Amino acid sequence: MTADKSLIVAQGLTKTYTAKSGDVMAVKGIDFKVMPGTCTGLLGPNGAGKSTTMGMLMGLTRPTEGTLTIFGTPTSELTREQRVRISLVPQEDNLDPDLTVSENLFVYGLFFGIARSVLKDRVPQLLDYMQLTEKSGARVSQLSGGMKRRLTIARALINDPDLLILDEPTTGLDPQARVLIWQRLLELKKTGKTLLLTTHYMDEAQRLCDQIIMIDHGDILDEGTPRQLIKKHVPGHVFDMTKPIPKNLPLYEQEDVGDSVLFYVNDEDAVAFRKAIPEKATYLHRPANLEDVFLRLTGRRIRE
Amino acid sequence: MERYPRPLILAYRHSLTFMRRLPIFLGMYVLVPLITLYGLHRGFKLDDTQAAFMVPGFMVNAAASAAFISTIYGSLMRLTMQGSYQSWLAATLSVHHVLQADVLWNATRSTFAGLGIGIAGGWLMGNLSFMGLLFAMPGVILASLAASLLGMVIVSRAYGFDDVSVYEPVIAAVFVFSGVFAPVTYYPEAVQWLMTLQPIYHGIMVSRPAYNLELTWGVAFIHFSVLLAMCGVFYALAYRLLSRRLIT
Repeated sequence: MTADKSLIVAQGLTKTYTAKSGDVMAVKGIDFKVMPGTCTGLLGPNGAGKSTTMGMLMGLTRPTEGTLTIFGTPTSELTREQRVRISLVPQEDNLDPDLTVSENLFVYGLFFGIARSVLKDRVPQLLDYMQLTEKSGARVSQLSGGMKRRLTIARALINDPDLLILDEPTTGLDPQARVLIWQRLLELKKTGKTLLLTTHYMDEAQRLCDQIIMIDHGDILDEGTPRQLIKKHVPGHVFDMTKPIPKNLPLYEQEDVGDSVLFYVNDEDAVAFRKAIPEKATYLHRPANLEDVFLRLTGRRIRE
Repeated sequence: MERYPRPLILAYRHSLTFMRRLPIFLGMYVLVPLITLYGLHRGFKLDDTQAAFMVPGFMVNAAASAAFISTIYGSLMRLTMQGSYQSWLAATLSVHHVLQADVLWNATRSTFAGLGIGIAGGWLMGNLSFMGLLFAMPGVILASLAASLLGMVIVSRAYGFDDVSVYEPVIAAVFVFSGVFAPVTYYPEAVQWLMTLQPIYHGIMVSRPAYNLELTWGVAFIHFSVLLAMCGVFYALAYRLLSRRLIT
């Protein structure tokens, strides 16, 4: 029997909030593991329990039941030396608006017990890595949304963590900023860092994550690699057919999504299905992706 | 690993921001009380005895009010709008660190405001006494600490500026009725009793005789004990409430 090398282990992890209107179970006894050097995506709609799980990982939320360990130690018992190996990129920017860009990194580094002499080298390096050198003397309020996000990630790297927890790292960013952050996260993964991220962008999860955990209503719906999940839940091809739908199309699984109907067709039948579509019909043919899986598992109803 | 105590690092962070806001701080917490003090001095043609009564009162009130106000606004902003407390907790700090650093910082800089008033006010009124200032400072410091801790109790239950701005009339009432420029015995007994529940009254009761080199052991014991007890109770309460707020 080999020892469990998982960096994060959650077993029966439960969080119940007590409210006047009654108890609310935000996380319902979930089990998952995160292996070192991998990127794991925690995906789910709003209110699924992702942020609560993130909070428990950071020690900001106390589990009601179950165990959650990082580096083999329960999160409530992590030593300072262990906590220094963990960093968080929160969902909402909480950069220090009273400090300059470089001061944000410098002061944060001091919190982790890093020597000033080390920080004097590391801060410019990180600013360069995140393409923020020109803004080193600027106040946070002078930065664009993308710059703030890059600075938040730079701040999370100041302690050279082994585990980087990212809560929606690219939400609200333009494509250029997202691509830069993706590049940096992939580079970090290559250096052996462990990433755990939540995101609403399925293309992001598909691109970055080795393992996906789909979560909703506090429960894990399924987990696996992006490819495994797609193969398991959706036929390989999706034909997004704009209404009116031509008659006499072969019968395949279909889903009415308003202005169009999605036809889910397996790999072997995709060519035949395409040939059966009249020339005048408007449609988009694409491979099935993680978004299809996500919508299948969590539904299309809007969550507030 | 531990190079500097973490509350000290937070204090360093605060000092960086403070230097950028020094003119605002000096204006709000030193210049305004000084103008009031000078106006009273000139307008009412105060004699030496009255000046010796007022200067320590203004010192304590200015310092403790500054500590209270900068806590309820500054700390509230860091807690709710900036999310600073949450980011500090994620960087290995504890709720104790955050609480200690914010309170010590707010109280310390406010104490300097009190000292500034003592020096400038004493000089303006012609009764500057360095020994008096020195002896008055412990009362100023403890009143500021207690006021800042009380501010943290309020902050840990507040969600916006509206929740703390309701205390502005209390600040005004405390300024008028705590014995800053008139003995508390001039006011109704109920008001006198109410004033004993807040730190500025006790700060003044101990700093005034100390400033005039008339402090007795008995008076010092009573009021320092009350101030220390207030600090202890407010700290415990603020810690409990803030922990509940930050760690769910």
